[in-house]
Amino acid sequence: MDLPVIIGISVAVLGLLAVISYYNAIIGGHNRAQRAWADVLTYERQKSKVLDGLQPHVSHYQDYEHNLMSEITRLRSAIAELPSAANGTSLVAAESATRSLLNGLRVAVEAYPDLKASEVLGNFMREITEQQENVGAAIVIFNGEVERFNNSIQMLPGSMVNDMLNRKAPIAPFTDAEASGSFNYTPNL
Amino acid sequence: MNEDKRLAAMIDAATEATKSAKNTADLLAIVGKFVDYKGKLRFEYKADWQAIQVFTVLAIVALAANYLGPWAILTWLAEAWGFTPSTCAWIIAGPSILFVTGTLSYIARGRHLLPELSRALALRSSRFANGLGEIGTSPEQLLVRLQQSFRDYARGNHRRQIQLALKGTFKGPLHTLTYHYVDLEYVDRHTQTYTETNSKGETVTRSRNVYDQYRRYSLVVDFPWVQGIAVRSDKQTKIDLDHTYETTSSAFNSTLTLSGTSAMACARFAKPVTVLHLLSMTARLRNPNLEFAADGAGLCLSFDDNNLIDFEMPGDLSNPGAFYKAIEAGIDLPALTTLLEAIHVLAEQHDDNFESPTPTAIQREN
Repeated sequence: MDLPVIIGISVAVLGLLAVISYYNAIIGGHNRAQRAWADVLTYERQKSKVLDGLQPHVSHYQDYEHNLMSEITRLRSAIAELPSAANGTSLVAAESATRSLLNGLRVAVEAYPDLKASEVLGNFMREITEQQENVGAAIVIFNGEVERFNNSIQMLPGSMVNDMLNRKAPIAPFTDAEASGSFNYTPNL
Repeated sequence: MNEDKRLAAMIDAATEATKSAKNTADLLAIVGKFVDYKGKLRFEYKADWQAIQVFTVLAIVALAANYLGPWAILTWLAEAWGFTPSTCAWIIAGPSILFVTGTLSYIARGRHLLPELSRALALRSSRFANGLGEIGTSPEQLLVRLQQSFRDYARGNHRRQIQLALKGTFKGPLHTLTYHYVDLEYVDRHTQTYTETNSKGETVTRSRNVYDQYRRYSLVVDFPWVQGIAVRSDKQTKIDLDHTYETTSSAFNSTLTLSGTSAMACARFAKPVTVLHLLSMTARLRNPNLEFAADGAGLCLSFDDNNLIDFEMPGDLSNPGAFYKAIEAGIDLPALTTLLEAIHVLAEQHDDNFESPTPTAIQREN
């Protein structure tokens, strides 16, 4: 076989291997982002289970009962509406409802000294705070994976492979509009 | 007794007292003597400096008399002693130079006495302030015990030895953690082949044993909340357990290897907060490994950083008032405290929020 033919075949094989490698990397990145999203959902739902235990303890306190119950319901429905496909934007409602509930709980605890002294409620507060920390950490990890995945389909030569074969759309990372609204600074992204 | 001798005697007594000090009060009693000392807290060495001047001049004159002359005095000495003028010059200059050198090194050593004592006092204070004390068993027994529970100590195919072991207690917001600080020295032996040319001009291949010495530092913490998990960042694959687990974080997976006795144990351990926390711990330490013993012996956090029990000197005994206050406040061990706080965070992440904050080794041993 002639040398130019051998070189041509070698280049073609290497090119094919590179395309396969980029194709697989995009699939792997998408799956990792999806798995990271599943973690977010798991901890959001875990939080919802903690609410089952918390509800009977706050229901005796009439003045705050209605408000807290509606916050709990709001959080539950926000968690239930979370899509199974990775999408950071859909988290906004659940995170906002969690913040409102925790604030409401703190107000109730301050208003009722015996509620404040309750060890069980303290434990529930710790548990729900811990679950919320896990949700926060899961979101950080999710956003990291989303960035990696989006880079892999938007940067050359991954973008070419994605346009031809994978046809994956970028995933929306989670951004907290409420938190960013409190800054005067807006980056020119 | 002159000033220098009085000060030297006080430093000697304080050095001995420091070795046997049992608590901060003992250290304060030692420093208090320096606070009450009426004289200067530095050596003058007046007589020594005068002697140095005399013998330096004598040596210079003797050598000058030889090399610039010989002068008449040297010729006269040569005739009287029966040596050459050059030998006579060196008979005078040699001992003079030796005396000057010896006296200068004595002065230099004396200048270090007070800083050395200050450092010894600060070291003891750092141990007392952070609840660090001697271990109850011999280092050899401790090593045997640790090797039974943690494979991180299976290092060094030639020799391994504990250089320093201390035990301590850390009171966190929720849990009291009892721990051992272990400084392990280990030696790896390997055979190296090399070529050389012998006396006949032939190239021959030979082999020799090469010994590489390493140090590994670790905190062994009583940690009942997690068992049968290993997180590794270095090449000590012996700590890996049966099931390797990939977390959701690519950053974690590229830096650390997580394994456990079961996939379920790994999944339970790899909470998002823990994943991020371990990543941040890894960034602060060099080659850290975490081994949660399957037999419940606790957590062994090992690393290459040798500065865990280092401290910053808060001045020294040349300013005894300020030094007294520093010893009274206790010397901080910032690296150790930061690491124990990080371990406490790990405990908070894995404890049961519906159980009372608890278990310390002391309580369990009792």
